[in-house]
Amino acid sequence: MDVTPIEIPSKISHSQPFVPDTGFKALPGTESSSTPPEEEEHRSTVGSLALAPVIEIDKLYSAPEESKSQLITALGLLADSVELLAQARIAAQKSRLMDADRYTQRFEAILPALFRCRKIGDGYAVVINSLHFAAINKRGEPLNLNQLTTAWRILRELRNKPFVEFEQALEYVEEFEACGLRVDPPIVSELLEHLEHEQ
Amino acid sequence: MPVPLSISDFKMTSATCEIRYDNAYLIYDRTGQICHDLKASFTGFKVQSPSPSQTIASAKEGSFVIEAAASRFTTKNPDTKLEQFAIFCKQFFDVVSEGLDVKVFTRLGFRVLFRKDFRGLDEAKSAFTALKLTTLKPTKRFGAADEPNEILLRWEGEDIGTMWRAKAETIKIDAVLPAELEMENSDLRKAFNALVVDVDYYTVAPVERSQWDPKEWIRHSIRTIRRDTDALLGN
Repeated sequence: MDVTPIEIPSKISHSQPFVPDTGFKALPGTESSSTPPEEEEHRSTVGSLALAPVIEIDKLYSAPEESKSQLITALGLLADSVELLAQARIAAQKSRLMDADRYTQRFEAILPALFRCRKIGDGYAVVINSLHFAAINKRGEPLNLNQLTTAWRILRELRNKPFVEFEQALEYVEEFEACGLRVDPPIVSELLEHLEHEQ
Repeated sequence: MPVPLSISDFKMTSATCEIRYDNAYLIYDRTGQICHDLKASFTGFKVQSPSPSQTIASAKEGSFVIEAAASRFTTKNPDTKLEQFAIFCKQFFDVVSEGLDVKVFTRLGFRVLFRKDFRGLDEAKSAFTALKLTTLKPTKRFGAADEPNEILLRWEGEDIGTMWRAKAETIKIDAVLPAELEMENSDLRKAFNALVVDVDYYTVAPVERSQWDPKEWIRHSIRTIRRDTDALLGN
C-alpha cells in the first residue's frame, strides 16, 4: 500500500533577524540556513591562492592541555622528528658522523609512537610505515646525507599536511626508494634481494 | 542580582559547518554523482531544490547546501559533544571535496547557536545587561532604548577569526499541522524569551585539504568556543 508522506510545515520566526538585514555586507558569516546567500564580497583567490600562505597546522588545531587526540600527539612527535633529523643533517654536513647517527637513532626511537597514531589516515600510515621498515632494513647502518634530507623534508611536509592523500603518500614512498631506502618489510626486502641476485 | 551564566546553562540549538573554495565548475557535471553518494550515507536523503549552481537537500541528520563556491551542513538538533555532527560533516565534506576536486579551502566556518530561555523578555534582557559586554552608560540612544539588546564582537587574526554575538530576544515558532493529522489543535504557536549566543569560528588563511579533518577540527573548535564563551560570560 502506498503511503503518502505528510510533511509538517514548520516556521521559526524571530522578533529580530539574526544578522542585520539592511544591506550591511561586512559580515559574511557562516550561513546557518538553507537559503541562498546574498551576493557578497568574497576575498578573491583567483591567481593569488597559489601564493597565499596556507594556515599553520598548529593554528588550525590549537592544542588544548592534556589532549588525548592522536593528531595532537602525532604533531608533537613529528615536530620532534623533524628537529632531530635537522640536527642529524647539520652533523652529517659537518662530517660529524657519530653525532648524525646518534640523532638518527633518537628519531628512529620515535617511529613506533608515530605508528601508533596511524588512525590519522592511510597516507600518514604509509609514510611512517615506510620509514619504519627503511630503518630496519638499514640494519644499523647510518643514513647518508641525501637520505636524511629526504626523510626530514617529507616529515616536515607530513607535519603540515597530516591528512595527506594516499596517492601523494605513495609519491613520498617513491622518493624514499629513489634515495636508496628500502621501504618494504624485511622478508619482502630479502626476497627482492634474492631475486635481484638470481637475475 | 542575576546569577552569573556559564555556557553549560545554554542549550545548543543549531550547528553549521561550511567550506568555501574557489569556484568549482565541476558542480555542473558532478552534482548528480555527489547526491547519489550522499544518499548512501544519510538517512532519507532527499534533494529539495536542484539548480545548476546550488543544490539544497535534507536528511534525518540535517540539511545540506552545495554551491559553486561553498557547501555547508546544518543540523538543528546537534548532539551535546558534536561527535555525531562531526562524523556527518566528515562524510558530507569528503564526498563534496572529492566530487568537486577541491584541493584548497579559502575559508572553513563553524557556527553554533546557544539559547538560554527565560520566563520573560525583561528577564532575558537583564541577563544580557548583566554580562557587561559594553562600558556604555545607559542612556537613550538613537531614540531607541537605554541599553542595547544585542552585541556583536569580532576578533580576526591572520589565521583564525571569530564572530561572537549575544542577544536578548523573543523567538516565535508558528507551525500549522496538516488537517490529515486530525489533531485537536493544529495551530501550534510558541514563543521563547531567550538569551541567544551565536558564535561563528572560521579560518582566515587558506587551508589545504590534506590539512583538514572535519572531525578533529570540529572537536578542537567547539572546545575553543566553549572555553572562550565561558570567559566572555564572566566565568
